Order: sequence, then C-alpha cells, then structure tokens
Amino acid sequence: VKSLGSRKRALERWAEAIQPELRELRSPAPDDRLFDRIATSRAQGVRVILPDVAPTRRRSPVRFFIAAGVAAVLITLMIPFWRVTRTSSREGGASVNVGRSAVEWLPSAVAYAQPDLRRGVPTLPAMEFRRANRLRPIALEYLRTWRDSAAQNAGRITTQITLRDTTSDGVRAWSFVSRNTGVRNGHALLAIDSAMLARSDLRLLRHTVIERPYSRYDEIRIAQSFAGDSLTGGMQATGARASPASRPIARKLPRTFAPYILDAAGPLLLSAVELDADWSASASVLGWAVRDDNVFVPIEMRVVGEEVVSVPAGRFDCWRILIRYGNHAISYWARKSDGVGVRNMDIDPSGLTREVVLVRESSLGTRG
Amino acid sequence: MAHSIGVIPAVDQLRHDDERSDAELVRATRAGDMTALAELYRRFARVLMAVAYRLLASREAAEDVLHDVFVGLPEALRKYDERGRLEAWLKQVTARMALSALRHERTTADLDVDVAQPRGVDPDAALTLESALAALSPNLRAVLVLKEIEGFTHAEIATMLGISKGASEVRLHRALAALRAALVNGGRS
Repeated sequence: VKSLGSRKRALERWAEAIQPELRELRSPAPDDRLFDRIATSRAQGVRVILPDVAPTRRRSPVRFFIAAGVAAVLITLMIPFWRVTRTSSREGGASVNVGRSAVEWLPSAVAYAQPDLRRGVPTLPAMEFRRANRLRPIALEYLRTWRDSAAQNAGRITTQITLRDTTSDGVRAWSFVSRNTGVRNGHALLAIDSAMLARSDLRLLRHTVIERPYSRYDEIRIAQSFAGDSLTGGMQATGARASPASRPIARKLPRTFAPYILDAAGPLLLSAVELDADWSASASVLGWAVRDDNVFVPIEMRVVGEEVVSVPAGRFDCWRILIRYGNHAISYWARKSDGVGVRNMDIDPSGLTREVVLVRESSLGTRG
Repeated sequence: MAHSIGVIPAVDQLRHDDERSDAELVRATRAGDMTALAELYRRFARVLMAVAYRLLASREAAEDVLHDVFVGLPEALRKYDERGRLEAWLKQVTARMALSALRHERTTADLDVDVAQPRGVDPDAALTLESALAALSPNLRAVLVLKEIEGFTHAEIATMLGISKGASEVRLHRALAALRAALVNGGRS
C-alpha cells in the first residue's frame, strides 16, 4: 500500500511538472479559408444545433445571506487585528500596497502569496550550498515570455544577470545584478535587482530592488540589509502623479524556514548545490517584506527527471526540478555540468504560460 | 488590427468591430450580423481550434468542428447566458462538439508537423509529447486534455463524457501513467 501511495504521489508530481508543456503543445492556426467555408455554409442555409452548455449558475439569495452572515462574523473577529495593522501602516507613513509584480524565477512574484506559516514547518531538508566554490564570475542573458492558450505572446522581458567578485564591509562577496527590460501587460518595464552574497555560504548581506514603473508610481525602491535573523531596510515610491510614499522594513526571518534566497538569483543558486536524481530540499524565497504577507514564501524543490533541453544558448543535459509552493508548481531545468538554470516554465495566476530560456552566456574572467 | 476575412469585404466595418465588446458582438451575431460573427472568429477561433485539435489530434477533424461551431453560433448564442465568460462558454461548446465527433467517427490520429511551433519549446521534446498524447486512446486523451490542458474539473468532464466523476479520475490516472511510460520509452524521463 505504501509503495502504491508513493507511486501515485510520484505520478502526481510528474503530472504537475509536465502541465506547462502540455499547455504549450502546438496546434494549427485557423485561417480565412475556414471562415469563408463557414460564411458560405451560412449563406446556403446550413444550420447546426450546438449542444446546450450548462448556464452560469445564478447565485441564490439564500447563498448571499449566508455569505453576508459569515462575512459579518469574520469582520467582527478581525477588528482587533485590523486595528494593529492600521496603526502599523500609519507608523510607516504610506498607504501604498507593495508586492512584487514584474519578474520572477522562483515564486516570490506571487504577491501576497505567503501561506499561513503556523500551519507547518518544511518537511524536506533545508537547501545546503555545499558547492559554493563552484560559482564563477559570469554574465547570463535570458528571455522571458508570457503566452496565452493560443500561443500568442502577452509579454516579453529580457533579463541580464552578472555575477562578479567583490568585498562588502571586509567580507569576500559576490555582487549579483539582474537587469530586466521589456513589455509586460502592455507597458514598458525596467526592474533591477542587485545583491551582495557572502562567498563562503551565499548568505545574503544586502539587496536592492528598483522597478519602473510600479503601480501608479514612476519608480519604487526597496533596500534590504541582513544581519543574523534580522531583515531591515525601507521602501520608497515616487511619481509625478502620486504622493511620495515610504515605509521602513524590519522583519525577523525564522531559522526554521532558512535558507532565505532571492528570486532573481534563481538561475545561479543551484550551481552551489549538489544535485542528483534523488535530490530534494526546502528554502524560502524572500519577498519585498514591506507587507506582512509578502516577507517570504517557503518552497519545496525536487529533482523529477533528467532531460536534454534545447534553448537558444545551446543544447544541455539537465536535471528537471519541480518547485512547489502552496498549490502552484514551476518546472525548472538546471544544467548538469554546473547547475546554471537554462529554462523554467509555469502557468501564471492569470492562466498565461510563462517561460524563461537561456539565450547566451559569457565568462567574466577568472575567480579571485 | 482589422483582419481580412474572405467573403466579408467590409474592412471598415471590421475596424469598427475591433472596438466592440464581446457582449455587443454576441448581440449583433444573434441578429444575423456576419461581420460580428467574423470578428468573433478572429478573436476566438485560434483558442477553439487548439481545444478541438488537442482532443481530435487531426487538423481536418478540428476544422470540421470549428466550422460547425461557428455555423451554429448565431442560433446558439440566443441561449447563451451573458454573465459568464464568452471564451469559457465557447470552449465548452467546442469541447462537446469535438467529443461528439470523437464518439461518432473515432477520428484517426493525424499529426500535422507543419503547424506553428511556439518559441522556446524544444521541437524534439514537443513532438515526442505530442506523439505520445496522440497515441493515447481517445477516451484517455479526452480526459487528460480536458483536465490538464483545458482546466475543466472532474465533475465537468464527467458530465461532458457521460461518465462518473470517479471514472474521470481513474481515466486521468491511467492517461498520465501511459503518457509517462511512452515518454520514458521515447527517451525522456
């Protein structure tokens, strides 16, 4: 029975992993000729009776009253918490709703997705950066696209990542920069993530995000500093059509959910991990931490297969990794030779297929 | 952008149609306006073709289904409940028509290798996955396509196929197992 259950779970994980590719399967495009045929048939008096599809269910008034009753009870119970949140907002001096929206490798971009952390601790072992010495100065370029179910492009962003040697307050560090430009939701976008990571264990030292535009603001800046289990910093949003907004950031990062990793560094982090066919691990992806529900998102990663993947940068032997958080899953392919991410794919919350592929790469010189 | 569609020469009218909402197009199509039907075709035919093609694995059969759906649309829209999403309703109608074609004709799988390939997808991998999907029995493929690709619930699939919810779940499990076995044998894991 145990073995059957285990096989069933493995099949479910595989199904999750393969779903984005299934949705991307090609289909022929209908052409004008087909519509000519349709119009001709109509003109000749041809009629077809289509099947009845169940109409959208009308919401009954009884349901409305039940929902209203439940809402009233919940509001009554939530009032004390709402007061606390409101006070905290005033202290911050701004009312802007801040959550990540633009670019993502890992799930931090799912704004306000942080689950109820009281419901459980990670069940998989914490991700360990045993091969931190494998990282090297490098420049990577990725293309990120969003497509609808008919394979039409709905967004396109180019991501340029660089990793260089540096020092930060006397600590040998990696300087990481991810620059993202392109069009998303019909608007031009620029988003820059930069970070300092300790070379010895890849712990975060500093992190800065700039995004233009953001919501009704021309620009938002998030600055984060890390010391022990503390995350401190601030947010500033400015724009010609909106009052400036700012908020301080002060969070505790529980050790239970460590290690804390950056979404933008997703393509490089698995370089520092020893991957094999049975590898699985947990980690937490940091959010902007401005809102209470966007501090971090625990994720689970598991190798689910080995595949040869073709992307514009070449053809690579890869580990296929399923990244899960809540009910969502991302397929991620990491190169076997060095762990660099070459592709990822998922269905975003609006139903679009989101895919990232490695376009080109170059070395930035030898390590110091 | 306006789209030139054969027997509908009123390009200016089509430009105007670009600005019409789905609800306006539905009302105009119900009244027999062919330019409105043409605009609905321009907006939704691609998505509906994908639904039919994935279920039938044959371009010709999928085109026949699309033909029937759009020929019957002006009358069918009289029963359409406008509060729902038009695309979702059209997908359900198309899926049912395709399933009906599948039941009555048992269409032979006929993969067309010249269809457009989305960027970034490994052509070898996609072809293998597509071949493996097409090789599934129609009953298993239908459940897998409706659940994993089109996002219908097991309850909706059960209604469409005239089977129980449990049978839909069992068929999905079998379809996934068969698909994985086919891909492993074809060189993917």
